[in-house]
Amino acid sequence: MTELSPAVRALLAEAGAQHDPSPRELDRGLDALHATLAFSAPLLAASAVSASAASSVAPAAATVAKATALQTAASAFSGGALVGAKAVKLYLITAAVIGSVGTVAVFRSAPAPIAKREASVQTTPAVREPDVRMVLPKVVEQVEPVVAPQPVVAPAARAARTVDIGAELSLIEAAQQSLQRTQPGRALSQLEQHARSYPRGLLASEREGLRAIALCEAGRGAEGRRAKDAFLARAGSTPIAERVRKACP
Amino acid sequence: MLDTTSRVSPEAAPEPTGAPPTRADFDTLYRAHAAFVWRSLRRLGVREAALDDATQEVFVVVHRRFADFRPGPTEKSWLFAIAQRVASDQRRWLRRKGNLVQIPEQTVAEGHSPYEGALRREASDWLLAFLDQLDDARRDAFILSELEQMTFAEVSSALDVNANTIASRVASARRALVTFLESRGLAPRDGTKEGTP
Repeated sequence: MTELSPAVRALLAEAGAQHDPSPRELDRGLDALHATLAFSAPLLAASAVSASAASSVAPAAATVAKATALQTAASAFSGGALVGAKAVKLYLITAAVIGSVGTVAVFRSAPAPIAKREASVQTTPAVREPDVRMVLPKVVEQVEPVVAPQPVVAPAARAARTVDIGAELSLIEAAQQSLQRTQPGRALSQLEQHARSYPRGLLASEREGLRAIALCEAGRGAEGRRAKDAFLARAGSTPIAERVRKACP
Repeated sequence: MLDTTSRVSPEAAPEPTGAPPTRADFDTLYRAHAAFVWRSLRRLGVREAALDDATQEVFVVVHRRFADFRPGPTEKSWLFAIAQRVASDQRRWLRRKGNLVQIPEQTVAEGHSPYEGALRREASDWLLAFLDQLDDARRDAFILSELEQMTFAEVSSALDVNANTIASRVASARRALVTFLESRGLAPRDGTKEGTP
C-alpha cells in the first residue's frame, strides 16, 4: 500500500502539533466543568486537595475554594442555620429569578456572579446576601402570578427545598449566561444537570423555558419546538413565556 | 505492516452505577485526555472559536456516562466516539445556519480581532483544509492512524469498522494527501514510496 515518505510524515507531524490547546485553555475548561457538574461527595475534599497539588496554577486553587465553599454552605444550611427571614429572602430570590428570565440585566450586572457568590459563601456560609442584590423591585412586581407553583408545601419539605436554592440558582444562572454568550450547548448541559439534581426544583419551570430556547439556538429545532409547546401549554402566562415564544419562530 | 486481523473486542458492559464520578477520577481522565479531545474536535471540523464549548460538551457526556468508562487501552476510542458525535452535531447545526462559517474574504484580510486572527490561522492550516475535504470515513481513520499513531486494530475498535477496511481507508487517504500536497505546491520531493507490501 501507499506509504508516506519521511518528509511527508515530518510535514504531517509539524502541522498536527498546531492543534493542541494551551495549558491555560485546558485549565479554564476544567474549572468550568467543576462549576457545572456534580461529583460523588465522599471523596470531594480529598480530590480537591489532589487537584490543587497536581496543578500549581491559580485557577485550580480557586476551584478548590469553590468546592469547599459549596460544601460549607450546604452543611450550614442543612444544620438549620438558614431560618426565618433568610428563608423568606431566598424564596424572594427564587421568585425574582423566575420572574426575571427576560430581564437580562439581572444576570448581566455581575460578570462572574457564581464565583463571587461562592467566595462570599465561604466566609459567611449562612448569609446569602450577594443574592439579594438580584431582587430588583421591578422584577419582584412581575413575580406574583408565578410564585405559587407549589401552594401546599409542608414546613419540613419547605425547609429542605430552601437548602438547595442557592445551588439551583447557580445552575440556572450559569445556563442563562451560557445563552447570552451564544453557547447553547453548554447551556443545555447545565440545564440537564439541574434537571438531574432538582427534577422538581423550584426553578424547574425556569429550566424548561430556558431549555426550549437553548434547543432552538443550538439548531435542534424539532426538539426545541416540542419543548416550547410543552412549556407554553403549562406555563404560558409566566414572564419567561414571552421569550420562549420568540424561540424557534 | 500492522496487525489488520485482530479486533479489540468490546469489553463486557459494566454494571452502571449511575453515581457521578469522584472529582479525582474525573480530573485524572480530563488531564490525561482533554488535549486529545480538543485536537480531535479540531480535526473533525469544529471551528476554533467553538472548541472550548465543544470540549466541555464531550466531558459533560463523559461525566454522565462515567459508569461506561473502562480505564485502559480503549479510553481514547471511547472519547473519540463521543467527540465524533459532538462534532457532527455542530456540523449539522452550522449547515442549518447556512453560511455562518463562510466569512467574507475581505473581513478575513482586514480583520484585526483575535477571532479574525483565528480565522486566518485556520485558513492557513493546510492539514485542516485537507481533512475537511476528506469524507468522514477516511478522515476519521486518517486522524487516528496517522495523527494519533494508533494501530489499525485500535482504530478498528474505535470506529467499530473492520481493520482491513480501515487499512484501505488509510491508504486511500494517504494517496489523497500526496495529491493534495502536490496541488498546493507543498509536496516534499520524495512524496511517497509505492509498492511497499
